[in-house]
Amino acid sequence: MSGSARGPGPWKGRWWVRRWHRQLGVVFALPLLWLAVSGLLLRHADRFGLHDRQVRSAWLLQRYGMIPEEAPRGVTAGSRRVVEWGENLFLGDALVQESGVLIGAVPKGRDLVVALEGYLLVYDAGGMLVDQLGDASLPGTPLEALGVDGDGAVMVRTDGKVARIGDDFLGHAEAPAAEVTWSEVTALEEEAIEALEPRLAEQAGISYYRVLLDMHSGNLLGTVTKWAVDLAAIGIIVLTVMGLGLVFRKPRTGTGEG
Amino acid sequence: MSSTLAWDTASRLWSARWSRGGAGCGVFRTLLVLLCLHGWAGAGVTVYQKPSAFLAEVFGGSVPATKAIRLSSSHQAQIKRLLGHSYRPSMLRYWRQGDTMAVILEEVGKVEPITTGFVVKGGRIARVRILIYRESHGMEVARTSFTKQFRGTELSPAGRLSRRVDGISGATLSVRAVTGLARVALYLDRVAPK
Repeated sequence: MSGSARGPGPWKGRWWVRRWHRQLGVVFALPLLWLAVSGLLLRHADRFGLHDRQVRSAWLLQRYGMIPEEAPRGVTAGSRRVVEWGENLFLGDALVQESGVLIGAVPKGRDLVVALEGYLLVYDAGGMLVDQLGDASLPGTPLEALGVDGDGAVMVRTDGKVARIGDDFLGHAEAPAAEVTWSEVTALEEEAIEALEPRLAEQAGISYYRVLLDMHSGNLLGTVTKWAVDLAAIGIIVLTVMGLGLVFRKPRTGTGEG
Repeated sequence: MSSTLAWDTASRLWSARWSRGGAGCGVFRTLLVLLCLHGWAGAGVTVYQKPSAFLAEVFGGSVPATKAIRLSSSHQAQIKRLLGHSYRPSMLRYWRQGDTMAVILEEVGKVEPITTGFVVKGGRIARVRILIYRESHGMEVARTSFTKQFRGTELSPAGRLSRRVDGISGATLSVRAVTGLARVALYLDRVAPK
């Protein structure tokens, strides 16, 4: 056998492969371990109850876009509070189906009148949507303000004009702006925000299985982790090919000269 | 926001690619147009006609007074049969003049509500118009070629439309939503006080 393992000759190529195999092995050891462990957990997700357990972490929910980046805004109407948080609308602690830019909220008897930019919504005491007044039933949209006058009538302002909404919500008439108490939407305090986060988490319904799956596939933290997982996969393929080459490649018997 | 970003990126790529020219320019331009269209398609709300303008058009400018019907549990049970679920809100507004009734209904296509205007005359649908479309896909239901299929249809005792409405591939959920609403509009014409 001519030449040494590191020197020129038939073993030169194999030495180079072995060296790279070792270095790549060190680099990709942790990603490979992570992929193997997370893959195993995913395979046995039922056993670990990963499908049933829901994520509560605000940070994780934010990653999934379930906690809006916008600051929540709210208004108190009588004893009830209405909050707009991103595309979510809360009545007290309950999330309702309707959404839009919150303009105001006022009580009307036992009902609650909520103004969004494009709608006037009427909820009963139980939080059920009773009536919805859109563009065809309002003096105009978008609504700019919602309030009540001295008689407790619902007043809206749109395009700078004030209108009084009929008690049955079927008609409206222009009215003077005097003596109207306008509802004011303000930023929410930290405690109130923390109280609403669990509601969003419940509504989001993101299981640990989904989080683990996204971590396994690199989808959780965006492009960087996607590329990292791709790179790890390519590294493992290269390592496998190199390893097989090292096992099955026969050393050359001659120097190739003459 | 995403469509703005897509447009910005596309514009830069366009300038860079255009200045160099090259054989793949046509393919690139096609891809660019598709990218921009995709961005716009997901841009959000499309208002085809404001509901108030729809009513003004239907009644020739003099819109009759708004009427409303509170949906009782038996109404909701019927609506559930026609639409697959009860209707929200529990008060339904309509406008009636003679034997013509107009109603504006909303139903979720996939995730967002589709606002649709219906005109019912003599127990048959006279007009369907998609007024506001909020979904990113399936806006083909707003085409006249689709909505005109409803003209003249009535509600059978079994709660079906008297004529088959052809679907649109890629807009199945929106077609289902509008068809369900058409049944509700015809039912409402029967039960709403004259």
